[in-house]
Amino acid sequence: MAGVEDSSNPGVQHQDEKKPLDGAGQHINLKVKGQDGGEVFFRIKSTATLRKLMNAYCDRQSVDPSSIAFLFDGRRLRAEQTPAELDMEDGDEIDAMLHQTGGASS
Amino acid sequence: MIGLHHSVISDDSEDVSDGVEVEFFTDSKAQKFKEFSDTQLDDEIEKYEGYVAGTRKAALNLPDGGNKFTKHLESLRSEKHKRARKLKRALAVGTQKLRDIGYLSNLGNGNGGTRWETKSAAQSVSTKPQNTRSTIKVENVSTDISANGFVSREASKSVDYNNGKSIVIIRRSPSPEEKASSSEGATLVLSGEQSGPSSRELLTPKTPDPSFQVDSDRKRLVAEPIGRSRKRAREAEFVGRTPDTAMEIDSSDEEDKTSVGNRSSFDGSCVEVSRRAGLRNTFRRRMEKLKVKIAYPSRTDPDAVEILPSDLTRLEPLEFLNDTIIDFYIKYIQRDEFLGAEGRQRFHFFNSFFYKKLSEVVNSQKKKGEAYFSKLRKWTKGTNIFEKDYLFVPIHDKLHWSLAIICFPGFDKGGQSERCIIHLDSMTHGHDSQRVFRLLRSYIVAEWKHSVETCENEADECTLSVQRLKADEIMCKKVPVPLQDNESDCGLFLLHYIQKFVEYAPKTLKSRDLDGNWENLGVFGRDWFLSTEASSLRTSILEHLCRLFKQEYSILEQANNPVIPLDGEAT
Repeated sequence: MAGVEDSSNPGVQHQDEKKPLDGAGQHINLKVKGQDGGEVFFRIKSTATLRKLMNAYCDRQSVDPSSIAFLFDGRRLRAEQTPAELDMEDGDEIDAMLHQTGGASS
Repeated sequence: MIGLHHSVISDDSEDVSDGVEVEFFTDSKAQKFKEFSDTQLDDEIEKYEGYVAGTRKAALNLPDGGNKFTKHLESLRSEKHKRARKLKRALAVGTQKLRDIGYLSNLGNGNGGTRWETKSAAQSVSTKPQNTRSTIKVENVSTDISANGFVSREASKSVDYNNGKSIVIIRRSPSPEEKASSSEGATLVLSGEQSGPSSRELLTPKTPDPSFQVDSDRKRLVAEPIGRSRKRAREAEFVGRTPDTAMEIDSSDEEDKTSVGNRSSFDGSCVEVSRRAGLRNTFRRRMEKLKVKIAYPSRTDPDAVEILPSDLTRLEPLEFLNDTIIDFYIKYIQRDEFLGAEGRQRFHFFNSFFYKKLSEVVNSQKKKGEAYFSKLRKWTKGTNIFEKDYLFVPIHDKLHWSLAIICFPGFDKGGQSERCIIHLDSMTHGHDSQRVFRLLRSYIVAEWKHSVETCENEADECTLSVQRLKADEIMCKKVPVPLQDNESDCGLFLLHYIQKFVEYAPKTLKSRDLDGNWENLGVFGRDWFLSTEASSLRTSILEHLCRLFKQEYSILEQANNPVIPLDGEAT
């Protein structure tokens, strides 16, 4: 069972297509916010790992998954975590931020 | 060439000129340039060249016609030349080929000076010219960068003593001085080669001499004091730190590694370092293949930092550190053995993304006219920042890391300490401190306002804190700290600043404490620590991580299920 609902874009579903929740905490809607301010909405089973969400986001934005860090309330997310264990709620926002490297000022 | 000539004759020439100079170039002034960085030295030379020959000469009306300046310039040049030679010495001799050397001759004892070395080479050549031509094969070793000039010297000495037939040829492009003294034999051999200025290479036969292994114990006895050669090897390591090529070679060649292994005890750290680097590369690739990841402090910790094997490459020499390494080490600093419960109560560490997020929030506030600090508030969920003594904010911008410390954000009610923001930057032209201060001030003000409001809503216990806080009331200061001497270590400096600061964090702090009396304060100042201390963190972090990876790997192996947690979810 895929963790993320399928639509035309695999893993991506827009908020207005939101289905009523079938059972408490079954699916939740999450928003991924990029550093450019762009927002992408996902609908994900709360017990599924975030890997699919991350991959879907990176696919959609055409970025290398290893170049992006996902943060929820300032906490770094790992691909094998699930929304349930992170106490994510419907409508929560995840930050997608570019990994930062630095050695000297340019 | 005068300058060069000078230095070949005597490395201590500047002492002589010191004696002559009466007032202007006191010892301290003349000696000072020894501590100059290379660029500073170049600038100084340029300046004095201007005085002696260039445009600025006219401006000087000295009774001695600028003699002092000429002499000073000479000593500056000789210093430069000395440094160049030191560097070359470290670069020139190939590490990888050395282990094959069986035929070595006396290269001198390290104090003998260049003329003597060249002579000895010339002697060996002239005694057995035929042999040399027929058996010696030229190895291209100049690409290997390492400190093993010293190694070869020691090795060669002992072999020579035990073994009459050894020959080594030192190839050097002779300076005028050397040319005069070197024999035809040397020139003959040299003429066939293309050698860089004063590079020293070894022409080595292919077959290793068995006696070399046998003599390995003897070698130590004859060699220079071990401590000294180690020290020099280390110095040279800092000078020429681009072992990327060396590493690759090492890792691809198992046999090489083992043969170096039995020598590493006296080689100094360098061969050992590149050997380890090779092993690390292999190790990393294996971890990558098995998809081993670690989460520090633990998988169950909600604030855990996940480290992938690919992050290890960030710790190779000259690489820039990434946020993962920074966040890992900040977590590592918070471990019980180091910080303890009390420390955790006093300090709060923001992660490396906080500052970026803060600048996003403040920017959006400018655009839309409303604050989004509520989003940022979630980042400190469960923590009251105003109860902390110090907040550490890693700052990343434009490929550079620096650190801000917010001191006593809650303002000690006893009046012992004052709220202030300190910026620590390992580069003189690093981050714009004013921007850092502006952002952090607005954060503190907004958070303060929020906490006061919540207080007012809930109860009236917090009467003291119901004072308005204005941004300009927060004192801000950029403090002097040790600077990085390269273009890659700012992340390490950021970590070392934190590490050193939490160790001696003052119990109280007032703005007047930041006026420059750093010894009394116990922190900050240009001499707070040695820059090599911070740079050496690179290795120790890497070692910590490798250890953690090994642990993780053995756990996975024990579970007999090395990849399940990572590939569990089939697509």
